[in-house]
Amino acid sequence: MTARERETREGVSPGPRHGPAPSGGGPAHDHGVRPGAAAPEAAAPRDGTAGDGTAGDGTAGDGTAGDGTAGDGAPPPGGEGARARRARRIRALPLRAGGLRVRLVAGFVIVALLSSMAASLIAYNIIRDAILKRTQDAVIADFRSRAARHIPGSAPVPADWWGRPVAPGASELTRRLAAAFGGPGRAAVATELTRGQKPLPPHYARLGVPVPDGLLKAMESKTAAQRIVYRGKPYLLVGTMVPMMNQVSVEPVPGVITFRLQGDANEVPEALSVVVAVDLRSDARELAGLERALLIANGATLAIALGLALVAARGVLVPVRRLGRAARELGEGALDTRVEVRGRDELAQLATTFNRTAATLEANIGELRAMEAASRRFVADVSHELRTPLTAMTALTDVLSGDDPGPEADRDKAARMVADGIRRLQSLVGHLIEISRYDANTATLVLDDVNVAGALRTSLSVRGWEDGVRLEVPEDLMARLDPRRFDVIVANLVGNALRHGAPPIVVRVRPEARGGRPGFTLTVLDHGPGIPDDLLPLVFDRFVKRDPARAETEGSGLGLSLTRAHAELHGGHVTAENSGLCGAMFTLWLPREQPGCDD
Amino acid sequence: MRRLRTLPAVLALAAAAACGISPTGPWTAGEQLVGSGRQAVNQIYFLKDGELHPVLRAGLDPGRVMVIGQLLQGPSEDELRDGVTTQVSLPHYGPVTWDHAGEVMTLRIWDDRLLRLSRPALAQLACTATAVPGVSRLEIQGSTGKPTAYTCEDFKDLAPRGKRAGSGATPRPEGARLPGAGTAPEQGTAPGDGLP
Repeated sequence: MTARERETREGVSPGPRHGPAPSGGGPAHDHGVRPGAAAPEAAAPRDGTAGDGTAGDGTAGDGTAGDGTAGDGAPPPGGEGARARRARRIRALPLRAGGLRVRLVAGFVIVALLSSMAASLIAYNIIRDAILKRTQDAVIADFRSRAARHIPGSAPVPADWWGRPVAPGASELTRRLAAAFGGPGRAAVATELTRGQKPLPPHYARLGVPVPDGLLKAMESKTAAQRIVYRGKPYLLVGTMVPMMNQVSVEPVPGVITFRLQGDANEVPEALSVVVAVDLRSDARELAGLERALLIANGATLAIALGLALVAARGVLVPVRRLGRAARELGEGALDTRVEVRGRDELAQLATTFNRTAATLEANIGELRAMEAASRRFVADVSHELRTPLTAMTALTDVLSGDDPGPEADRDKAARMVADGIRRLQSLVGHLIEISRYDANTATLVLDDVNVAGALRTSLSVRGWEDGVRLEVPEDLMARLDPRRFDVIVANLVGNALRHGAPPIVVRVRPEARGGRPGFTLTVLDHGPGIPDDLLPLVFDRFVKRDPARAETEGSGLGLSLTRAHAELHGGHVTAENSGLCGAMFTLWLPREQPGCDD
Repeated sequence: MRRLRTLPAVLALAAAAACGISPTGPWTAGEQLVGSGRQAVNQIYFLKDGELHPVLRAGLDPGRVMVIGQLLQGPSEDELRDGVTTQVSLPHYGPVTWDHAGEVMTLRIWDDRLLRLSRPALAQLACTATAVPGVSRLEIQGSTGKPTAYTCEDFKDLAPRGKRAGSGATPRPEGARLPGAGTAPEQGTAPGDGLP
């Protein structure tokens, strides 16, 4: 557990990672609305105790409160307590204004309700229009049929049953017409119109409902109808004005004899008008029932939509929260965090992507850490390697430059040892430079066509190693190599064998193709004790030495490492093994051609 | 978000406007009607040139007693201009009432001063009453005593002598029973269907 993690868990002073963590994990856009939440120092301790204060559930809380609980000394991710708490947090799924859940639910419900209401409105309108049309058509047809049966072609001067003159509209005829047109749920008023009178509202005062001027105007030329609402009740008014002929035909057949009916020119009605008011209460009741039914249906739709929306939101939010929490944990350094992939939807893909990303991150960071450690170790090793000869040389130069230089032989020996030390330092520095080239990826091959046998002999003879080494090499084997690096490889492998193994040392070369590429294998076999088993996998690593205590006599510890680097630069490789009883065996394989470098 | 708030409001408004039965403007529910109901025609007797002169009035069916009222109203202005007169000068309210029962139409005059009716007036009353189908006589009842019965037959001498020329002449419609015209059709109503 790093210091940073400890800080986060204990919640003492949120480290730099704790502040951004909620914004990366939970839906952080809400936090801005709460006062004080913007200050990360204040947020963590308060959230841990008081919850978030939005939903009012202190136990579950939101993402921030969750951080608080995680900070209350909860065991690291994966502990039973944390898991239970997490499960509870997921179950609670607090409601927050502007939160994804509210938006999802609201959107779902609004869409469902809108569709339902739109359908209801359309249906209601269609049904209402049908109901009203049915009633109106029936009323109008009935009105016309009654008019045809009851309105005479000529009307007497307004008079009562006795024939005594009365005011227009109060006559026996209008009384009879009113009765003929009236009925349950409908009222009728008829009136005579004399001397060019137009129908006027006062004529129909007995109807009980006001007759609009527009209807009276329309009545003058046509049968007219109008729907009105009077004192909250709907009525259908149908009116007509029938002109009076004041003529009579007494012979119905051809040669019609038409007589003019006599009467007082000023009093004989010129027209009869009838207005019927039909109560539409039953239709209104029917429609009210329909409204109630539709309201109930819409309410049911709302409830169902709400339920479905909550389920759907949960299906989306639970994985989102799980992902968010995993991301937060990942951000807090738990690189092994993975999420469970459920289903095959986009969220499952997201979870898969997250897992892959986390795995890559974990691998990369592990690699980086390993490299960092290796680099640290390398620096320490280099310092150590440099210090050892320097210490020895300092002591020797003290002897040489002292007041009492001692005998000549001692001085010579000291000077030789100093020169050795300088050479070793030079070699070490040379190796370091070479290695740093590899580390910086600036190492390049300088290729040439090389006779392998000749190159080997040259390498050995330059170092004076021909005597201790048995060479088994085909004379005519040619390869395209970097001669300098090949020389270094040979020197390192053979020198290593000479230093650690025992003679006879056998260097064997034979052509061998690997992976379809022509090449050759160079084997260096000694008859020493072999490589210790614990060193065998590390033998090509830097500063790996057989016996660190004998640093003085050892090489730099970089030779084999460089050998491998050179081999790999050529496209080949080198392996080490213990060859049964014989000792250590190093096997180098190099290709004979370098791709794309045939210059 | 504002759109989200206005949307339900608009919807609620639409729903409220859409619910219930709303008033409309007037609309045409068919062509103008013509009176094609049963047409009653009354025959009223006035005087012209000292003779009985029948005119036609629109009546009601049933509405037999209406003829007396129409007689008491007198001739129209046009008829007066044509020289049509009446000698029946009874008020059609107050002490004068009339009724009909079976074959008899009864005229009650409670004021004896009004009872002194001229012979042409009696002829007018009797012929108008018996022109109504089903009525065979008119009985005039004073305030005291027995009623006096009259029929149109009693006034043959005042009957119009044939057809006369000139405006205002009233042709005899079928179904109207004229003095000396013999039997009359049952109905005093002319077929009203198919009026022009």
